[in-house]
Amino acid sequence: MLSYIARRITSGVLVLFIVSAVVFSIFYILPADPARLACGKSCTPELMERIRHAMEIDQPLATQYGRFVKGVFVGRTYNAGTEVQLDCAAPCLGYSYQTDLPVTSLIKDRLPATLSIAVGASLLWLLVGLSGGILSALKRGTLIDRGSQAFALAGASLQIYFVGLILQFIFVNKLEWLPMPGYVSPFEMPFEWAKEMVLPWVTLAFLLSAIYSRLTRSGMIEVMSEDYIRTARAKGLSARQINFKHVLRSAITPIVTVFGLDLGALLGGAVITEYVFNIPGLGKLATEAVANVDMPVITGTVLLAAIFIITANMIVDIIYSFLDPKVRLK
Amino acid sequence: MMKLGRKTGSVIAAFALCAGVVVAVPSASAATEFAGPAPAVKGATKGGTLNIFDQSDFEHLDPARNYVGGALDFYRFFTRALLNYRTYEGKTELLPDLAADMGTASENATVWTFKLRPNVKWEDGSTITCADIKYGTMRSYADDVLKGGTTYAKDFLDNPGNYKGPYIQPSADLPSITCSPKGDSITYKLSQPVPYFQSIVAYGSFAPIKKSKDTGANYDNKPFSSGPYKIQTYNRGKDLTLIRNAQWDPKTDPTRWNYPDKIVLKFGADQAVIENGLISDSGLYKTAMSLDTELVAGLSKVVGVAKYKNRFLQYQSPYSRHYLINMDTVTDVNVRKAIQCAIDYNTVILAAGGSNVGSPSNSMIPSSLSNAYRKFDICGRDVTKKPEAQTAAAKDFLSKATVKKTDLTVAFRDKGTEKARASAVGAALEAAGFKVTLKEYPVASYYTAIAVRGADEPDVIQGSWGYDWAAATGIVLALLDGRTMTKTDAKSNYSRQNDSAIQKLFEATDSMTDVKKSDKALGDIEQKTIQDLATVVPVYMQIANSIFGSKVGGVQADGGYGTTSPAAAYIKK
Amino acid sequence: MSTQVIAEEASRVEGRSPSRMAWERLTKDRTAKVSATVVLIFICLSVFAPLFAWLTKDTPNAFHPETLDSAMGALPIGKLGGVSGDHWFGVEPQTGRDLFLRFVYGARTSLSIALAATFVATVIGVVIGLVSGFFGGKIDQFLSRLMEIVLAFPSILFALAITPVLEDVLIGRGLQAGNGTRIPVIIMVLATFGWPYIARIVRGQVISLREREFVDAARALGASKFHLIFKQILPNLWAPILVTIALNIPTMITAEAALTFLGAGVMAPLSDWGAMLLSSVAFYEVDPMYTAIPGFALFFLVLAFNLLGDSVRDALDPKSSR
Repeated sequence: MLSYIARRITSGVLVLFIVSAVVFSIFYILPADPARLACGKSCTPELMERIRHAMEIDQPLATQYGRFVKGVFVGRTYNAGTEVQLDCAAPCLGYSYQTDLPVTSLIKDRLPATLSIAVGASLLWLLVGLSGGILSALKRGTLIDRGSQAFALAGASLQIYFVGLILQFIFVNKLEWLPMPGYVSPFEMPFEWAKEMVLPWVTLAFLLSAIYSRLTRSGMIEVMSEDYIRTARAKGLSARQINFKHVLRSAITPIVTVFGLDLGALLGGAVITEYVFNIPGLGKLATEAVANVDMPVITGTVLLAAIFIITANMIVDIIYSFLDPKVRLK
Repeated sequence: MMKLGRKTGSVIAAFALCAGVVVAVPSASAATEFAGPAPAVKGATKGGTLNIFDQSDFEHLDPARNYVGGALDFYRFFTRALLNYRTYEGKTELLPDLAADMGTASENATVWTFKLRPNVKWEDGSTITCADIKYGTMRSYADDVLKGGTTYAKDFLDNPGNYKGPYIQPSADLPSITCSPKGDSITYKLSQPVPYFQSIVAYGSFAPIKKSKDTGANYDNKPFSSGPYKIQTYNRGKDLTLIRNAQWDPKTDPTRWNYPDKIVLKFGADQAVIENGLISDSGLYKTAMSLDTELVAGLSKVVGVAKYKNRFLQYQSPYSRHYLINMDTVTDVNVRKAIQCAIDYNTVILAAGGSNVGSPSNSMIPSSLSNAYRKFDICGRDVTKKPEAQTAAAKDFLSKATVKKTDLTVAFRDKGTEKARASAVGAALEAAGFKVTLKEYPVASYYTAIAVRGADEPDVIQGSWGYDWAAATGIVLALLDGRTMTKTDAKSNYSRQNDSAIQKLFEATDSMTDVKKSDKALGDIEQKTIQDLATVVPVYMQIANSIFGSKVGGVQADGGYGTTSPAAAYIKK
Repeated sequence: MSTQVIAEEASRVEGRSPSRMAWERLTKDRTAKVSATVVLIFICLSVFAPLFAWLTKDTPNAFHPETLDSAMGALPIGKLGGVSGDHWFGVEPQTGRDLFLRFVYGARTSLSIALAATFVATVIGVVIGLVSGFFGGKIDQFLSRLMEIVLAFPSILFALAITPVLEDVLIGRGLQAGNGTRIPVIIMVLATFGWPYIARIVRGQVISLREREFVDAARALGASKFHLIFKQILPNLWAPILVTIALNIPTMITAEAALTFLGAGVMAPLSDWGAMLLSSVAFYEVDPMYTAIPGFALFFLVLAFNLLGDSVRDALDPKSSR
């Protein structure tokens, strides 16, 4: 067991390094003039000079990358010793010259909003997806089943911005049951925080629960007809015991996989959701950085998102190996 | 040589109908006449938090770098200058702020002396001294570190020693500014007569900066306060929170109010989000307003509807929306005339939001400046009577061109209706036979980017301009005078023009001390530029449409900066 | 019975190939027929877009100021966003551009980009999946690792970020700024994030096929690797490939619309469903038609493709539980 975990973590870290190297190369090597790209559209000649110095453009790529990686672990000081010295504490994911702040502090600032969306939405879609799937499987073939499947299909075919707008139109503008979506600190104003998060949560849950509903339903149906269930029933276990204990546990494995992946992707920044609902999270930070062509921030957010995805993959694989021992032996 | 122009940032200055900022006449008993506090705003109550939702953050809050209408209005919450505009019950006056009087001119308006108010404090309790005011101006010379802002100090102050600013020359002095031995008055020696110097000292390069608190390029992030509020937190691009500054004494300031306890700004939302939020009046929007977002899509819901009457503000603004044609890249005057003729006033105004947002105008000068404004034809017709594109005439001019440039880039900002307007222009130009590429720029750097000479220059620039003060000098010189440019930076002369005949006319205005005369001369220059040089296509004068929350009172159109102003705002109980 | 009758009976009971059986199952499926029709309608609309322009004597970029109410914020005159005999879907606020034409031309843009991206992604995915699954060993390890790396990237974020960079590079090499450069970049980016999904499925299929008896038999008979790949394995792959194509197209359509919505897609004034959705956001309260048209169109098209994909999968493999 432990060796599998160790192997998996090593492989994950390796992938992370490769991804970071690729991201780094693409944003710093591919462009004709990376300093100009980091300078962005708000460029002035003096800003350019500062950036060239700080980025140490003349160094070979490997050195630049090495410095960057070192910065992640121990922090980094740009232009050390000069009057334009920029301090970037560990973990240093780069320095945004345009806003004059380390990327890490920008990210720390935006993380709570993204976490709020991710955690709330994921709990909701699990709830909706699982219960919908269970209901469907138990009442297979009935109107409830068809209705649930149609609901899931609609969710899978709709777009966030469209659904978001419609829900906003109904609940905020017409019925006025909810305030405009946004982000306030849950520690300061918990009720307001929840009220403003309802629409993003519900929209995401509606759209993403489809696959969980489908997986749960098909998983349960498949397992319910398996031999060992028939044996359990023959032995006299009640339907309920059978359903919940045996069936659900077996059906849960693919769901865990997908959940981990979805959550990982969402944590990286639900770009469209944050845009549509105007939540100041990582996704919004990224879109703003793209609009301003603030390369260091773009690199930082992409890297962070990749970290979330890779970590989620790793955790999912490890949990999967607990649930399905065959995996460990591969 | 004057530099003028305020780039548009947000809502523009409001000038009701008859414009005119009243410059209070200097009088002998200045001390008591100009004492604070400012007169109470009817119905105003102290307390509460004012929320402001803006699409973008301010470019600069550093007084030496601030040059955008909305920001200039807003930053007076924590920035005092020698003189300051106050708009109260529809009337706008220029009044003494840190000065105790309106200043006395001598030696043919080349020397100005201002008495200073005693015992005005910084946010840390220390006194604002004459040395601080002098340092603020000296610092504005540091172009190397402090990019942006007005260049009035450099333009007008006498500088025989070629002072370059305190970062390059830390121990040098700027002798043209002198403080009296007791520090109770300050004197400026100018390099030329400037009869309107009082309007100039309202600007940031004449605001005080405490030397020990000068953080150079980082001053933008946390300016040190001399006003009724100070900065609690400022996360660039995200939010800004102002709290009360206990050291501000209203008795020393007849130009400011401080009704709300706290002012919280949030940046980054979209035009639609802010519009819809303010209209919905729900949650935080009940106590909110916006400095840079006007009603566009929501206009139809609000105009004339009784429910919104109390929180809807509409006023004629002195901001002109126009197109500048780059003479360096579009060299043939016939091509430029073709562009002028091709533009369809109807579609541009519709794209902006229709007749409630603007009406066709042939000039960038507001009609309220009666000596400068004149009515003339563009492309051989009265644009108010025949706003449609004159496509046939355009094609005609294009055929007469010797340097046939038909590929055009149209530059515009990523904000509000700019894209729709640029698309309208693009479509109209294509109908006349041009091939158009639309080029979008982010808001925070538009004016810097399009002024860059030598690379990536756009051909047609969507621009807007509001005067720095109510005279043609505030518009024509900045936008059209070739002397403002450098080899690499067009500054505000976006059309890069430098025609010798027109430049001679500009030089003639330099010595005109009579505003009526200079207004008339500059109005002539604008007409000549538009009709002969064809580098400008004025389209409309903006009508501002603002909406704010039902619990906000005191929102008004500021006559000094032409913006929807929070200066007198209060939260209703 | 006489031998003749038996012979006749036998000839009537034809042996049907798996594909034939699949086809029959598909044509009997009502959902499949409806969704296929929907997809076909959209494809026709986009292919015949210029025909519509010619019919209405209008273009998608032409402004019609007379259809807008200037005093009312330049909104369309008339109900439902200006629907009339001249303008079947109404007009766009602030510009007066005909929405029906913008819609069909937008369909053209969105669909062609999505189809092109799907095509490229499928080609890459099939090749890599095939090579990876067939050869196994170190090649498989390397390619699988490659897939994992690509899947580790946050796709939308990265696509958003890399589009201006790629464009910058291409413009640096002399291409003109504009949609001519932007569109190939979008297709490349979408395909780059799409191929791993296809490759994984293909690889899985190839691995299971590789061990089947008919392949073993061919190998025993001395067939070359080339023959094995092209004559034995590939022909049996078309079924899952078809399903993945059907299910990937809607993803590409959605991704392209999302990219345009976020600002990294096609540039104005080229019409595109994502662009329409983006500009309609400001008006969704006062002119809901403007949002409803691209929104519902996207919904129906994606739904149709999803249902079609499901039906194709069921037709090809009826054992999958329903």
